[in-house]
Amino acid sequence: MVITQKSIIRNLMPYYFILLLVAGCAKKHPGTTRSAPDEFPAFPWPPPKASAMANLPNKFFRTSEEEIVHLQDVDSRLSDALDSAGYVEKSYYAVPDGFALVARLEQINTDGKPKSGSDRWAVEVGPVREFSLSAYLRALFTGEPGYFRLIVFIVTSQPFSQSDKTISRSEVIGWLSGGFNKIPAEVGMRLYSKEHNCTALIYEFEKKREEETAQTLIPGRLSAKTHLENSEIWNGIRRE
Amino acid sequence: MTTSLTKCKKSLAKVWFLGAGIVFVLIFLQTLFGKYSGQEEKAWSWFLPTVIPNLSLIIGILVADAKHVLSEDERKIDPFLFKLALSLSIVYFAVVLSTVLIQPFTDMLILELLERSNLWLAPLQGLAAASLGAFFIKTEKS
Repeated sequence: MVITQKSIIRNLMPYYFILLLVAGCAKKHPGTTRSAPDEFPAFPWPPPKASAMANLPNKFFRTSEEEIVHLQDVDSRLSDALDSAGYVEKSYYAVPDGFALVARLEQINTDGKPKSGSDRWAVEVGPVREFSLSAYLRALFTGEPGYFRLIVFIVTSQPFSQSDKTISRSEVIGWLSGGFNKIPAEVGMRLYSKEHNCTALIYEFEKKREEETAQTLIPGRLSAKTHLENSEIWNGIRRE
Repeated sequence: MTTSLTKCKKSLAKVWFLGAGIVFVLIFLQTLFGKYSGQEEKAWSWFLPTVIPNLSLIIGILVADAKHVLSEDERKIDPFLFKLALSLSIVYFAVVLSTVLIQPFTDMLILELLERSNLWLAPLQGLAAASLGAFFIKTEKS
């Protein structure tokens, strides 16, 4: 049997086409491939100056020293706590050896409790809805300051400080749409080591109803723990 | 008519001075407490034309009356014109005050509302001014 170059090409041609077809399908359906962590949008690092900060106790995330915890378990705990506190929308970003979880900007009362109803998610200070004489007089004579809060959880093994950069309210509003809707599998599978820590950064803003721009409150009026307690997140994360 | 002209004029003057005084205090306190966030001149630009023209008319007449020592009280007064001028003045100030006092319950910003209030205040002010003028002119002629 004489093996010519032509016959080799003819015999291999079908395999070559199959190879091309498979490669083409893989390109057309990116959902079938796993997202590489490289594509994971990065959170500003070091984080911009926050109004308040608190490190959450590690016992919130592991019951014993021997328990193996992954970052996705930490995410589940944080997400469940946020969901039960009404923060359904959130966004994920990459930070060194971990992830950042950004909750939606909300409007709060002076004590740190979220405003009720649609006022909570309104980006503008609304009119007086629940009448009280003090609220009415405040609204009538003053610029009716509205307080806004954004909570970011940073889970990382790296120690970090905050940058000198102050972030504006309009910038943090963009954080919700700029990140991933869930934590990438590659990141989620990483171990939550003993070096890891979960830090809550609170960004608080004050905006008067008559003013165009909001002011970032640094330092904030309340402690980070008060913010987390009054937003019902603290109890949601804490293991009973 | 038993009501004297002086009493009628004083009643109208009281309504206008009291109404203008209350609105003045409100705007003054709002200015002091920073309600207008640096745009105070817009609030005062709204307030002054709201009350000054009619207040000037009333003051002018009161001053003119003080110069004449006439038996004004004996002049005939048209009770309908007096009641009309008084009612329109009271309604006008009720609407001016409501505009300022109701703002915390509305979705509009204070300056936005003040600017828009010219839509309903201008006709009312015109009516009040016309009724005041008619009352005084007719009384002078009678």
